[in-house]
Amino acid sequence: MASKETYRTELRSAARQLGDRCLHSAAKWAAELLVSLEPDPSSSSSSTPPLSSLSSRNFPSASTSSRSLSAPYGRHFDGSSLRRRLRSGGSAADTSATPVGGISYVSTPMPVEDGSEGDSDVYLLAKAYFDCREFRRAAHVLGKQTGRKAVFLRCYALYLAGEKRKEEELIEIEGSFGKSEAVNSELVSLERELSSLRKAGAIDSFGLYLYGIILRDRGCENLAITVLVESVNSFPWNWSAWLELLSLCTTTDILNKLNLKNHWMKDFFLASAYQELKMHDETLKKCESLQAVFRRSDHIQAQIATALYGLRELDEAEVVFEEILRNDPYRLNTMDIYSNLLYAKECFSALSFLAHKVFLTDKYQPESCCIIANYYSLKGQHEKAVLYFRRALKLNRKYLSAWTLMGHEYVEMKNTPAAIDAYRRAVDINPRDYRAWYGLGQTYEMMSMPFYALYYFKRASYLQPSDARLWLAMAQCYQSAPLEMLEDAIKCYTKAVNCNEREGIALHQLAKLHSDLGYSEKAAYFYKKDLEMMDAEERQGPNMIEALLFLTKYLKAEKRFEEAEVYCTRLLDYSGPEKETAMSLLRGLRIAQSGPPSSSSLEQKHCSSNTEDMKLLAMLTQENWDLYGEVINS
Amino acid sequence: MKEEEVERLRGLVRDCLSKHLYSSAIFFAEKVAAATSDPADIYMQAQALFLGRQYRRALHLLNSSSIVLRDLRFRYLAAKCLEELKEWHQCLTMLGDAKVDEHGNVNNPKDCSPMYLDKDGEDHEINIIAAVCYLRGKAYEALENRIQARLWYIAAVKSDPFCYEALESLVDKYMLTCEEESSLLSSLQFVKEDGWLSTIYSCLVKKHDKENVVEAKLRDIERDNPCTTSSSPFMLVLKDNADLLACNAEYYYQCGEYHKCFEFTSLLLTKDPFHMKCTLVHLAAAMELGHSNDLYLLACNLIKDHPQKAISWFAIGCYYFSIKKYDQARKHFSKATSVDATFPPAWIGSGNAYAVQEETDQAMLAYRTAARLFPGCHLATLYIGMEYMRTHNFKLAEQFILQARAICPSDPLVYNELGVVAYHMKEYLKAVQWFEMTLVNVASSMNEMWEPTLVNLAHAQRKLKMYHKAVSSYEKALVLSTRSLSAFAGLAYTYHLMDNLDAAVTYYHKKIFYIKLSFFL
Repeated sequence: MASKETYRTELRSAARQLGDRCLHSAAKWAAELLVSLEPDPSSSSSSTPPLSSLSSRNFPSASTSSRSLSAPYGRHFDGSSLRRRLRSGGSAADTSATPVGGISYVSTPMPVEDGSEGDSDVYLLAKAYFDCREFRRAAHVLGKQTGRKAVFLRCYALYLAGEKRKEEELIEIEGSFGKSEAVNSELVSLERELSSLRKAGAIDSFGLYLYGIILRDRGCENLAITVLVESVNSFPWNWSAWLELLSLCTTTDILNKLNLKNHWMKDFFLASAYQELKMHDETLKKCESLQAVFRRSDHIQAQIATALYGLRELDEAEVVFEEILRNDPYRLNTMDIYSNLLYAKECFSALSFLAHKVFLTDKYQPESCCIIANYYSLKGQHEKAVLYFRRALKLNRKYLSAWTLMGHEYVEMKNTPAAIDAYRRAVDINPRDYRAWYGLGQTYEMMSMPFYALYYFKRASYLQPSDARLWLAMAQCYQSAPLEMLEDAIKCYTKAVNCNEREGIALHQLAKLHSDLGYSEKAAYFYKKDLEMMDAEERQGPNMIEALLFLTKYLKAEKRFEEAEVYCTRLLDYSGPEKETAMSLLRGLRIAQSGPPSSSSLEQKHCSSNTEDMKLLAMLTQENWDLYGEVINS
Repeated sequence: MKEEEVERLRGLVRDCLSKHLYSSAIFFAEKVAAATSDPADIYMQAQALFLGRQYRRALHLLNSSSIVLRDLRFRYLAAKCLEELKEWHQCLTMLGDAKVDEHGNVNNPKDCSPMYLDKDGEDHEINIIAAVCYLRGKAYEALENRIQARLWYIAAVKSDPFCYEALESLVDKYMLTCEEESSLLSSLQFVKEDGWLSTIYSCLVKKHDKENVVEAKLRDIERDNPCTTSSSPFMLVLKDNADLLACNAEYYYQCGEYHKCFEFTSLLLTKDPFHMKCTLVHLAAAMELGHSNDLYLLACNLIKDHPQKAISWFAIGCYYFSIKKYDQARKHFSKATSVDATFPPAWIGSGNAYAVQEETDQAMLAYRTAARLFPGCHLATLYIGMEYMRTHNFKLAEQFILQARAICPSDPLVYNELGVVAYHMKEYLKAVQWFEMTLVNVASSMNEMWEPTLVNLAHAQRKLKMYHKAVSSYEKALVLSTRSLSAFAGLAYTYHLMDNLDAAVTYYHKKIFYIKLSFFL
């Protein structure tokens, strides 16, 4: 069991090593994590406190983080109960991996710095060149060095030089958004060198990381995965390597097959991987257990917030994001998700504040551009929004959500070809982005190409089967004019209902479709459910009237007069033609209820013509007369 | 009903009141009162009715019980009902016709000694006289009789220093000049253990002093702590008290250290986001610093949370002011004044918004209203003076600014303006004196805010042909702001007059360079 001090020493040395190899973002990540570790309450006790004492009560200093924990879930249950729930839910398989209770973490030895390299002066120069982004010079200086560190930096510098050239070519040939064949010209030679090094066993984890990236760029994904796994197994603190691995794990199968050592960094990886695979509950579980150690980690907080957003728990996610922003006001990373959330909630003021703030912080970052674009989109200035999305994409062409959102903007502007292009780019980058598939479907539906649309909706709902909106879209597609495949529509609506569709469209449509198809029993069932839901949410509207009207008629036809009367009386609350219909129906019901009279007696009653009755009768429409007839006949 | 039964019910009523179950309290109180018809029980019933917002009924009960005139408490409660019903004249009549002299001393021989109905013994009670005085003040204020209101507020504070509400009214609505404030504070009689309160009060009054009162006091407390153990620990706890910190922030605002002020208030607002005074200072600081984004968010939140408060509308006005949409700003400032006419910042803001657009008449109107409503607010008078100055009406300007100085003699801004007026009236010697006084009065270290004063001083010195002094003043100004055009021009001209043509040319060039720069920007 590792104590906090162990974590700290590991991270400290890892950050140094990563920085030394110019892996800046990984170094940044490690350093952030290092700082997020709280000082031990009593430095004298080297042993880590047992699990129970980690609860925030015993740590006066931990009050902030415990607040941050309980706040997001505060609506439903307090933090501690959640923690308990997650613990118990985590079951035995999970507990072995929790850092606090964890017994079975492998401790990976920190690679010893080979400081004996006599050429460290040259290395220093190369690193300085590298830091000034003069990659080829750096590589050249290191040309004759053979130390592992030097070899790595040389290869890395060459790789980056190639990448830089590739980007330039892209723009020179095709403009900033072109799809060109430009490739990194260094890849082949680098791959050859690294593979021979690997065979000779003369390669360290950093080299393996680079080799993994190169393999991925060359398209050898399986080998890339193997190599990256080797890399993280020998040096687990390189977050960039984990991220590369993450981008290669496109399905749960691949993820489960990874042969990873059980290091605590694996938990961070798994949390992110589950996030990518939309297993948000698992992500929350992992984050929860990690947060017990890394109490002040913004990375974990951001993961939690993103997962909550993925679960559409917007309010709770917002609280977490606010907390993050309070701790780190100039953060840009993951703030684009926050802006999406604010957009979805239509929090205009908060989004405006965020947009203005990131504009001042650093306006040439893809995240900032995306946030500003969201801001303009919410203001209805779609052209400007597109402009900023394009800027975001210029800065990072693999920025997935920007492509998707830009597609949405083009849809708003009714520019379908552009929208389709944007969505296609998004699914090219990441075929798991259901929003892009959904957008494609929507666009094709707009172009009245329902079969295309259906195909894309199917892709979307395959990726996100729990999202009712996707099923609704599909059902509407089946239902609409050229197809009219009502049976299929019914299936989709049923799925939507099973996904807890909140707006009640599905139930209503189901009822309507069933009644159109003549399945009045089922229709009645769904109308009833719809009614219950509307009652529960205190909604009113034409759907309500329709449901009540149908139920009355249906129940009357079924001779369940008392129930029918209940619904009919409710109809009386509405003004307009419905009221009159209801009155006549009610009258019919009363008559029917008072024992099925013979037609002659009814006739007499009519003849006796109570004035009140006459007035009512005069109001009845032809349809109601027909109903009367039905009653009489029955 | 038996006595113990009644006693149990009394306890129940008290409990209901503390749990805010007013209807139950009224119900049971009525039963108790009916059973005993004891004045104390009637008082309890009336109290329950008052808390249950049934003011007319409470008033009727008190009136019909016929003891209302005999006991001050009954009368006070009845007057409170009338206050809630906004029947101010009736309210004053109910409180009796005591007189107050101009020092806030009450003379009322008739007031009968109150019979203490529900004396808890242990708790410190606010003197009922103070409460009555405060209510009188409020009624007079509502009747727009500010002079009487002020006197009664003073009387309230004097009869019981713990009557904070009265002090708050006096301070927040600028009813007293600086001098009056300090004399009031010194006349208050505190028991020895209540020394901490006197400390806090002295922090609360306006902050134009040269030294930072709050920090000095806090320092004192910390230093004294080891030796005097009796009262200080309590004071030490108060070190992080929001009110005190807000005062501290306000102090920094007054000396123009807006960054420090903003830092303070931001910190405070994360702890207590609804602290109104702090919010106000925060708004002002954000405006000075041009943080329009913060203003925007704050204004949005405020208007969402308190649409009925003037400060929310004021915040929106500030936002528009800071992004230079003065029309909108004016609209919202005037909305703030219509929501609450006794909110001083809105009037001043409204005046400033007019003044920026050079609509002198309208601006004067706003400032005059502010000056009338808030006799202790020297800014209004000062701004009137500044408006007169802009219309080249220097005599009047001087009068008004001198009046402002009488209200608040320690604000350096006043002296600066006096200097400017004197300069315009070609009384350069006087101008130099005024400017020097300004610099003496600047509380903290010099910052960019006082660069114009230095330039003004230098101009005046130049006019007096004290060239060397002028040069040194100009140079001092340039230390504070390296881009001061007028300092460069003045410096060049001075060297010109000194026949030092080389230096003159250098500075003339510099000035031209910066003019061009600002032209292109």
